[in-house]
Amino acid sequence: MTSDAAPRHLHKAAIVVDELRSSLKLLGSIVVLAVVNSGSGLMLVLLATTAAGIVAGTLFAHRRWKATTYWVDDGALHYRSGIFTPDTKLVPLARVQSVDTTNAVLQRLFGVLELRVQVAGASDEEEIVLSAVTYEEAARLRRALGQPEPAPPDAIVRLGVRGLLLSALTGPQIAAGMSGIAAVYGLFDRVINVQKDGEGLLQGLHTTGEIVLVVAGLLTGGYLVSFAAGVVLFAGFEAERDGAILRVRRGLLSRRALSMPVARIDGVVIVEGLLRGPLGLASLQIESVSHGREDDVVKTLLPLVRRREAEAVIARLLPALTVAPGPLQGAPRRALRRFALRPILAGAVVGAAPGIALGGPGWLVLPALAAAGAAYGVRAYRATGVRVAGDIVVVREARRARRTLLVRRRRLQEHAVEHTPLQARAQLADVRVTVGSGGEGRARHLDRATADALSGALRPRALA
Amino acid sequence: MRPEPTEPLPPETLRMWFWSAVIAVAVLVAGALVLAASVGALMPWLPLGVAVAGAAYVALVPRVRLRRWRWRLDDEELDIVHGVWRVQRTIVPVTRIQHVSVQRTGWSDRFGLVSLHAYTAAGETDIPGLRRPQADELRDRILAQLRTPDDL
Repeated sequence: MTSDAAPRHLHKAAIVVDELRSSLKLLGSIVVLAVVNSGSGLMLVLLATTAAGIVAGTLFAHRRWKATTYWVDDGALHYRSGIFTPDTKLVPLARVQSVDTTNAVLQRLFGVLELRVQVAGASDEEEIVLSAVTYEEAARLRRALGQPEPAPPDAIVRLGVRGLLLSALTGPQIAAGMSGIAAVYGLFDRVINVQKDGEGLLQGLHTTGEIVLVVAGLLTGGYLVSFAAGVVLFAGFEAERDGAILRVRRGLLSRRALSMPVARIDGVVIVEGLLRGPLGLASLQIESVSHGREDDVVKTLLPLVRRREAEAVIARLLPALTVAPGPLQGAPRRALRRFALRPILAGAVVGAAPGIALGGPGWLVLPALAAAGAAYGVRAYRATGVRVAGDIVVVREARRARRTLLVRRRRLQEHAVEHTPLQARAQLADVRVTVGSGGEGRARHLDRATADALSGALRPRALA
Repeated sequence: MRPEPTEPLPPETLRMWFWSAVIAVAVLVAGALVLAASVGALMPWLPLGVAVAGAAYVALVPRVRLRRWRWRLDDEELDIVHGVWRVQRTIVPVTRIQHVSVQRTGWSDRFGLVSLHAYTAAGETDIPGLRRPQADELRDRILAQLRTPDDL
């Protein structure tokens, strides 16, 4: 393992990258303010203040760059930063979970990468982020951190253009879409008073058709933003395993690469969303301690896979999670009404509102929503199941999405068997297993004997 | 078959939970009185209702909670059963525990109790009421078993 005791600075591009990042954030507000106050004397003051801010920011970024050093020594990565109160973070190499790199447009201009060292159980603030290092330096650091350079892969899975488009169409990046809409709203709110002018707009809507059109327009806008986000985030997606290292690369504007030892991966979740499930499609997500706090995009092992091929793809990329085909032990027939009752009641309560408000035809919504609730409950009942297959535990449940968790038994942090008095009377129990990321797999209303048998199989003595 | 946990929490825990519940209910009744005083129509039914529900809670919940609470530590697992309505049996393999802390507060001191918190990568599992020597002994027993190299 390489050791390099001499402290090193980040690439000087870090000064520009850091400063431009903060300036770009500022710029959005300044442009809007400038538009609002165009023609007034205030605009000159605003621009002068901005220019002064950027100069001061650059000087500050330079001081910060000078104060920031890192080195690998004594089996640990050291990171020293801070102008007024310098602080040194130390990460033992044995605790390094993965090394991620991001190559955004800004960094590409300078031929540098951002390198992020993921540590078990660390929050974002505790992670070490080197905002600008050269490609050569990133390769050297990867080696020093025990993550060798790519070798010819043993297994590789790519997402083609068709897969990318299908993934973006069926797996809307709701969060990205919503934040996009929020950003647009924020921008408009500064230029026009959305609340005031929006009320005028709403008062202008007279017919049900107009309201439906506006709502449909908003939903379509959100969906298009989310589609674009899906394409930008997952373009050029490839996951490969060479030796004991898993590498995932993705992104159009900002190219992100994750590399982590496969031994650090506790499990995988097969997610069949509402749109994907009926099409026989799913996505795969990694469960590991280091990515517990990250969003679903970062945890993606593959954004789109045919459901029937999911286990085979997992076996190729992560052989330790190979699970032989076989049925799950589902919930018994007597549990069906427990799955269905709550969604039927929820549907009936929500469905009663149009009836109370509009009367007559409004009441038709009630049976429709109650039936939808029943279908939701039956789907959850059919999906629920558990299985122990060798060293792998499989737990499946369906809420909005159908999620199948495949996890190595030895990596479970805890498990629980739960029941209410009503469940106890019917000899039923829920099972919950928890992995290191804090992620959970739940199976509700199992036969009590099935739940106890699973719990028994998870006993350390049973694993020996 | 895994044996059921048998270790109860000490009886002082019931006193601590009882008085915690009394204080919480008193605050709620006071809040209900203020609200009812400002919205005349709610007087006296809202504070009365809160007081009756609160009294039932104080009389029942701490007792049931204590009766359910059981724990067990063997050479491989920390096993806990608890819950008032939803009874939950949580099992934590000892090798998954990363660190243990014994905590006391001014309030728990009044009852001669401390709480023990066992942390794993996924979160923490607590035993909310133990006598100090018992907690220290339990902590030491867990730590003594953390010799196995962890492949986290």
